[in-house]
Amino acid sequence: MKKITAMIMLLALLVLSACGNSDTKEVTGTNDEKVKLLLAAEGTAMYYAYIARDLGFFEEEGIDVELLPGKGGSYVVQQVGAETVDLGIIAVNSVLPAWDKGIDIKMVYQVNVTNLFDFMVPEDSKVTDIKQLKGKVIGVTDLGSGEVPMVRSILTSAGLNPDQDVNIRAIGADGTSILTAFEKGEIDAFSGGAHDLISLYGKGFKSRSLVPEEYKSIPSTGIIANGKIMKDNPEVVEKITRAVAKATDYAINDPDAAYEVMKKAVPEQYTDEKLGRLFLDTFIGLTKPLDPDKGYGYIYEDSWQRLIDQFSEGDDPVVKNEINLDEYLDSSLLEKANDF
Amino acid sequence: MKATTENRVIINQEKRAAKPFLKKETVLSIVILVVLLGLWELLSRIGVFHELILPAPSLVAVATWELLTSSFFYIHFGVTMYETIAGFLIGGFLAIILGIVVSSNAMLYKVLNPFIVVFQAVPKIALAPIFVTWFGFGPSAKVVMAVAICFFPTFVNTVVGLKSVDEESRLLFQSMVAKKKDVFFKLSLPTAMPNIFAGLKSSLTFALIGAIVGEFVGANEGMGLLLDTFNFQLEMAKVYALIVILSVVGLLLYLIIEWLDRKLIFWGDHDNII
Repeated sequence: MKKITAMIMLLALLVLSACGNSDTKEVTGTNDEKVKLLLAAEGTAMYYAYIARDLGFFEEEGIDVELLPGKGGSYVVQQVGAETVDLGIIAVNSVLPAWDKGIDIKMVYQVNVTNLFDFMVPEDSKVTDIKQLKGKVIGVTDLGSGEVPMVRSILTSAGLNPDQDVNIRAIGADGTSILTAFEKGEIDAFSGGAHDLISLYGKGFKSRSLVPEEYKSIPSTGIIANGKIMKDNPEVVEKITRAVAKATDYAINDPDAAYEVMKKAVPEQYTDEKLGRLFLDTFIGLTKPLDPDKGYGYIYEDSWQRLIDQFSEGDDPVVKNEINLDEYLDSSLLEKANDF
Repeated sequence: MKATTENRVIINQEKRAAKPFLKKETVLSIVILVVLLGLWELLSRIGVFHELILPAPSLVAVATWELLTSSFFYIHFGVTMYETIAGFLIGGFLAIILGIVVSSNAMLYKVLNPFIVVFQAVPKIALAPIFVTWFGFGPSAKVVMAVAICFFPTFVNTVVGLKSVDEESRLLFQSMVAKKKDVFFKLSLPTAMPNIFAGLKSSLTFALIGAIVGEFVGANEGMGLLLDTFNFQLEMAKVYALIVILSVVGLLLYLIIEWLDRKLIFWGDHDNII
């Protein structure tokens, strides 16, 4: 009897928790709409979201935005795709598996227009060309992370087989682990995101990039919105993108003031002020428009196609199906996003 | 004589015939499981559960089959099992030895116990990057992680078990002028063994958790890496399939220790979970 009662209670809990998610979507009302914006990373890597919040740019748009730092782009894409949250900011490679499955998520604003990932060797390394990595070990943060398809594509372009000619090894994203791996000779090169590498540079590590020119303009971060909100309430998306554009503009034009805002917003990331400033300056640099005439958030379709081609390479690619970018890239709100 | 033997055979056959194949409680558990799975499937199909959050059990079943019939799965499975069992054996051994040492001397217990408790309180996930730095990027760091997580239950149970020796029995041994090693091997250790095995049961499942946690931080192989990879690829059915497989593995490991417990520690109280 007790077992049956316990099982019935568990069942009720399961049903209630599944139904209970509806209260996370609070885009309702006419004034001060409450919006949850899920972030793939916390703090400086997405500085524009914090500046928009703390300087009142979201408020000016009449929206009450709650920033929710998540655990990586895949988590954000999962929640936006499942419509538990309507909007997110992600490293763009995270959305490709969703597009491969035909999930209705739109890329509405490209935040970083240059490649977030670097593929580098120590400054004093004898390796000066990708071909010289044959037989060597390449460290990455994780075998499933975004830099891996880029590394594989760069190796393939240089005539190397990523599965046979090199050893790609996951060593984590911790700066100490990366430094130790280089010092112990366990890796000869490393690839990771700017957020992984900055702590190395802060410790005085000097590197040389091996990334070819054609890989430098791959998109790296963007704002996504699910098909539902784009259909039912695109005005909210427009307001979010405009506030982000304003915040980016503010930081580019006054990085010192941006630094002061971020120091208050995420003080734990600025305990080492020099490192914190380096981090912020790097990410502000990544958000500078390639062509100022095109404004903030411009979506470069050709660079997206190059990104998809990278993720389609190999025996077991992340992207297995044809992706029609017209279905997923949506620039319709960008003109209004830059109207400030 | 013959008639008596025949009667005994008949009685035993009747007893066997009277016993059901499955216990009533087991049947009930299976029925409830089937009902829950059926409800989950229905709620998934009508859209209450989004497939990106909780895929239908039928999709999870297909994904489980696909994984179990793939060649790459067993490489990762083997690595995680190696890390788990190595971590469990080392952690369990250290825990029992340290438990015996600490219990043998009141002063040692008071001096060492606070350190052990503090170590237990440290969130082990925070130690994972440190272990990788110290022990490298191969399985060693994951084995150490498994040791760190599985150590405490067996240690505590060893200490509790050794302290639970009946005082009258101890006095009886003393009255017979028994040597210290006789008291330990013939009284204290046998008394403590049921507790030690109870600790080992928990430790084995914790060792599996430790191996997976270590793999999350940085790994080239292992079930933790597969979980991470499938999560990135939004292959949620495969993520849940791995969870199912890990749960079954955890249960099997637990049952192995429970079987050993029943066979070796026949004087203890045993409640079967199945």
